[in-house]
Amino acid sequence: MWRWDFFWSILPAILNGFVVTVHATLLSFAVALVIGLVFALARRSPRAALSRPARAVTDFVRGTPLLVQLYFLYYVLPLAGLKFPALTIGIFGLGLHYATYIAEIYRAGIDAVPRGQWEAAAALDLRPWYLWTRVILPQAIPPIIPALGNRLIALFKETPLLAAITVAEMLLVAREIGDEHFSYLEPYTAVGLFFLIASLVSSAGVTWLERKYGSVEAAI
Amino acid sequence: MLAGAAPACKKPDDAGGPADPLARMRAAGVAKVGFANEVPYAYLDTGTNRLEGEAPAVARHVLKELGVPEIEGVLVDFGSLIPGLKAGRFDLIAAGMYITPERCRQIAFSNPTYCIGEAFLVKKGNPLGLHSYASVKENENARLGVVSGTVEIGYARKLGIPDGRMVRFPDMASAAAGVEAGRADAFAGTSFTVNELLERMPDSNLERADPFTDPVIDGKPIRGCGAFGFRKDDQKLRDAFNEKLHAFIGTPEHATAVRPFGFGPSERPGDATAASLCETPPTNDANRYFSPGARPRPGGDRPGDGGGLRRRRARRVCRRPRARLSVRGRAMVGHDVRRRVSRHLGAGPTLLGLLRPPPRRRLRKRHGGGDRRSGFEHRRVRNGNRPRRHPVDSRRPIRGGNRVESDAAANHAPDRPAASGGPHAAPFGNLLIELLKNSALVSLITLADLTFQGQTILRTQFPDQTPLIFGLLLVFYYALSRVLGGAMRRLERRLTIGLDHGGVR
Repeated sequence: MWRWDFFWSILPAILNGFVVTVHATLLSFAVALVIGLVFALARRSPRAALSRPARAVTDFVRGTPLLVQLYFLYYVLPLAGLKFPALTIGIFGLGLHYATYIAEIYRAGIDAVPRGQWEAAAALDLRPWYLWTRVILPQAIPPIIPALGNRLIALFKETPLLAAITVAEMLLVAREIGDEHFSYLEPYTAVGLFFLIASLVSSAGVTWLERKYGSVEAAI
Repeated sequence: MLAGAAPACKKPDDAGGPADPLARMRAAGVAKVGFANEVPYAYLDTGTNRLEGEAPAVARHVLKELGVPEIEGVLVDFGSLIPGLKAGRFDLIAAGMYITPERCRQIAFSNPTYCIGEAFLVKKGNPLGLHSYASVKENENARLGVVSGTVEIGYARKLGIPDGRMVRFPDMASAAAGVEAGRADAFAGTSFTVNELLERMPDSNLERADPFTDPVIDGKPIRGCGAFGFRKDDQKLRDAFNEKLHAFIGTPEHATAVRPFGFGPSERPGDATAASLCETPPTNDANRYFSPGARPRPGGDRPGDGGGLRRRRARRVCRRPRARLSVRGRAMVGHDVRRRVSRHLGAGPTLLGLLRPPPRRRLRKRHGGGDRRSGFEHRRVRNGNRPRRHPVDSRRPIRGGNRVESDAAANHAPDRPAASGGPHAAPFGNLLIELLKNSALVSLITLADLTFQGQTILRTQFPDQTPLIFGLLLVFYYALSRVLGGAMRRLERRLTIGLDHGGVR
């Protein structure tokens, strides 16, 4: 029932899907990092006009399934005149979803900056821009890098959802192959293997990051 | 019951239930039929909750003649119909499935109940002027929408449309929504699918491409013929079915039964038979995929093949009764499980997370502030689960306090929000909400959860109400998770009080 020749013959196609998966993962993580920072800053803003909507949006995004969000973005946005390819929608949808979680990590990092640093910055009368870019963020970000790494792995493993909106990532490729040959064992096994290998490699990377940035000395 | 019905050479107790499905169905009084929710072939009328369409209408009549009074629909993806049948999840496929040689290798078909041509669904005015597969091929910018697993993919491949310009949709309604949204420039389906979609979307910005040239493959215009699918083991059932079918097709009763779904005299299968349609067409590369071989005339040009197939099939009744097929069948059961597993790899990182070494001990030791609670939390974040909003919310005032007054509790722990009280309640509650949201994933394996119901309603009743349905779904989930979140917060507060007094701090 397991056919090696079939397995080898489909591997290139699955590999193509893997490239799309990695592409989508990295880009949506970049989107999540940026939007997440915006959310984090907006949420801790003293101005209610800023923090309330940010909170409402993050609550909503976190309270609803990613799958439904993707469907919504994919099928509804174009009706409002915004047309993007499926992959772009997928990257944005994944990025937005993860941004709400990453915002939390940022917030933790920012809150963890010692009070004395804030006071010192206030004493030096630093402008907000310098306060954030020279004092707070450089101290806030290194300690959260391991946590961000874990998010990246989690996001990577969410990418099969993109298959639902016709992005030809690994899972969809495997499914197509299965549907064509009426044989699902080999394609899905290949997908599982790829995910496993990639996850193991990236978690080794995260362990390394942790060792590098996990201590306070390295952070400051 | 079994012995009398089973062919003498068949082991009656071989893998998976009684050898004679007809006897079993008669005893149960119900036949399970697989369908893919395609109007007008076979679909669930969500108003009456009844299986409707051409195939169920015919199946109802024929099965009644065979002594099975009821049919029960099993809804699956189109691409899962054949694997599902082989895995024994239903007794026959009643989805108006076209007979193709490739499919004939997998399952046994009854004789066709209808034959129809193809059509394109395009935006109003047909901006790219797509009137045939050839015109799609010629226009570099034209993207053709197809539904995964359908014969149209085979036609498009055979006619030279590159895979890169095919957009694969999971179902017909998505495809229509996709064309409307500009995700594809034309959707290729049978003329009925297209008509029916249009009828159900009166306000849409879509139309049927007119005129349309049916694809011509190997010198023959394509006309697809739909039939019922049976397991290859169930030849006897298939033959009995064929017999009743033959007597039924073409009668006024048949005409009355299928007219509501738009099938008229022009769709009669004529003298096309399963055997003639199963013939392997002249091979070339594209035939690896879905073959386009539906032929209007039986007998055709390769009688040898048809005969060979018939002979092979006749032999198969006796030879190797079930062993091979049941193995394949089990593989097909497995495929859904595997799909679920791979989803889980995608969604639930816990296993891998737990396998990783324990979290930053150095940090915890240094600052002392990270007690066993923060240790717990470290693991939570490391596991890849999401930091929750309620621990954070409930701690809001404290956090504000930290920032202004003291950094003692803050440390540099990145996942500090979790240092809230209620060390156990919160993570469990969070996982509950997580689970609620991830439950949307089961719709992908066609379990009828909220998301799937939403899609079903969308497909059958309101294909033009996409925003409304998905919007409602979002609101539903949000409300559910709010309610759960609120409950968790209360629970957390209670437990926190208890623990505070218990001297954790």
